[in-house]
Amino acid sequence: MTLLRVEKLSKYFPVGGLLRPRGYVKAVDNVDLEIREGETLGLVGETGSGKTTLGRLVLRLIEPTSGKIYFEGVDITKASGRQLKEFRRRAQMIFQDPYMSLNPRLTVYQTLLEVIKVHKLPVADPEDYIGKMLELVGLERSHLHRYPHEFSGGQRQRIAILRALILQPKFLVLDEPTSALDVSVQAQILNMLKDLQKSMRLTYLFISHDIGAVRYMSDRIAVMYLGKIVEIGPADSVIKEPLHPYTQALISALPIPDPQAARSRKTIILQGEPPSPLNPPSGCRFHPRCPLAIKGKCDKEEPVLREVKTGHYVACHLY
Amino acid sequence: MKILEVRNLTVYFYTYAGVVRAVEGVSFDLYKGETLAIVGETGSGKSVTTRAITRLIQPPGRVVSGSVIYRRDGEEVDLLKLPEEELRKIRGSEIAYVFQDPSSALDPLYTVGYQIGEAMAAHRGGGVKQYFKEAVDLLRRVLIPDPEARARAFPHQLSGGMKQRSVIAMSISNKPRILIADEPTTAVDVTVQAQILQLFKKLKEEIGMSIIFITHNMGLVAEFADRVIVMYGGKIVEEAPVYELFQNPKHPYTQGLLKAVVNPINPQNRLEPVPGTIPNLINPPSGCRFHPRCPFYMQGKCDKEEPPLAGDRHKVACWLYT
Repeated sequence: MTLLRVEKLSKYFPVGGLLRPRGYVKAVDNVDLEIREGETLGLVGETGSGKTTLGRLVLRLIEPTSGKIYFEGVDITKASGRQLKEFRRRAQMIFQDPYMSLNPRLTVYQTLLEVIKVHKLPVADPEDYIGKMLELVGLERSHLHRYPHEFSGGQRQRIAILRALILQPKFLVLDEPTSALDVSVQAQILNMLKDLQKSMRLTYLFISHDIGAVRYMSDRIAVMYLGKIVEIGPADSVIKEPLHPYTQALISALPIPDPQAARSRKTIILQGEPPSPLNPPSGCRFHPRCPLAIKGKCDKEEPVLREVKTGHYVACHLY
Repeated sequence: MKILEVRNLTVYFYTYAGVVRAVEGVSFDLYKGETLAIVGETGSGKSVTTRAITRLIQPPGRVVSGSVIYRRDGEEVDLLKLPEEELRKIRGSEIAYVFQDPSSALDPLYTVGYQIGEAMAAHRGGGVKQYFKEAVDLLRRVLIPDPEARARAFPHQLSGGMKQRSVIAMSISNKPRILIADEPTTAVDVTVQAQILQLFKKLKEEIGMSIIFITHNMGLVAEFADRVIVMYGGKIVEEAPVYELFQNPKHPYTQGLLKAVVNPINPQNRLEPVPGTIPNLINPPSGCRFHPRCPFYMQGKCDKEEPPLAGDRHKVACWLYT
């Protein structure tokens, strides 16, 4: 069953000029996407690909320029008041940097109590309730009255995760949740997120540039390039048999922790860097860097997502 | 041939909260033409170690003891005892650095070409302008498109990958014998990272330099290193040739680290994280600094005595092997 669906979703940010913008950064451009109940959809892409903007759009943390968002079949694109508040309870976000996303002046208890108050959760004894919930994310009751600075990065991220979970949401957007953490701590958080997903029946949109972490967490993976989804499909299929030339280059360039495998494969080195989303290339946005670009085709016509294998879609003229 | 011999290097930071024992008793060798990777997490001492090699430690930090023997043309000098003027001739020319954040390594007020020329003028004498052509050549060598125009550009006009290449161009401008790269690709994307690593490989062959490559990413180690040093809590816990380290990791921390990273091509069913967090180096654990997190911890031994780094080509500091 589909939990969240977006249709032709776009977000253009105006650039320069006070009253009349000089141009628009097309951060997310005409994206269709579906997230199924209980799954983890991984969203990968490089800096400026629009993955974070897309994550914020689906939660309505920023307003779309155009397009529609459906949550559990209900159009919430223009929701307000009680409907929006209920949506906010059911869909939560976890940010990259747990040093910035927690208020340094509030204790763990105060931070979490605020959430309960704002959403008027029917909790008789909040201190007892929050104390119990702390164990859910591997913290202890004795941590209740401490301030963020008394915790390590990993522990802070646990608190941020608990702040989202205390409302018993259905859907979480995780934006680079482990990128600021050390390797040994990253694994702890990833495992915890997996366990929580099972026990609380959560649906995740997992955004990261770390394809290893995305692979570990996701059922399906979507690849973004310059505001567009260029490929989406089952995680295994996207990593093992990538179809889009961009995905192929990306996968071939991944550092893999195995010297034999790392040195025996062929790395596709792309030329140049992602162009500015202010003036994206015509046709397929990847064509200036694409080793397989077809002249007169790829620079003229924009490819659309097509199903090439079961459940595996790609936007490329080669298929 | 040994080009660098670091012995018993100890660096402390004297802070208000107490003495941070950032690096303690670190010894290793660097051979000519090799790539030596130093891996570790935050606070392991990997950056401090390599900065101490050319005395780049700022107060409140201080190199407390140790020696860094640098060998060239049959002579040996201790970089930690060399007069500052002599050391400045070596730093930036014979031993060059590339740091993580290219924006902070470049001056926003000067063009990239000027800054590269300045690095050459500082070591070879003469005016900056006479090196402009050479700077353009260097930018071409690090595969910057349209190098003539880029040399006249200011740092803010370049992308992150381009800035890092400019810094690399600057670091190789005097044909260094040792290049110390501290997380050089952490700030750039995967496809750009691949370009920069390929560039390092190419330059290493052309110039015949040795590289010390600092990273927290086991994938990059596997890709790029000849030998690996693993640091934890300010000490070296293991040292081995790269294939040996990945096939037969000995220290429980190295084993844990390898089980905690996802292999994106063949992912594990479940990661096995190292429990706990990195130690506080103001008050590090007694004995082996890893013992509070170690699955093989032996009470009365590991928490009492510090294990020495022992072995021949494959060295490990752990009581399980003695």
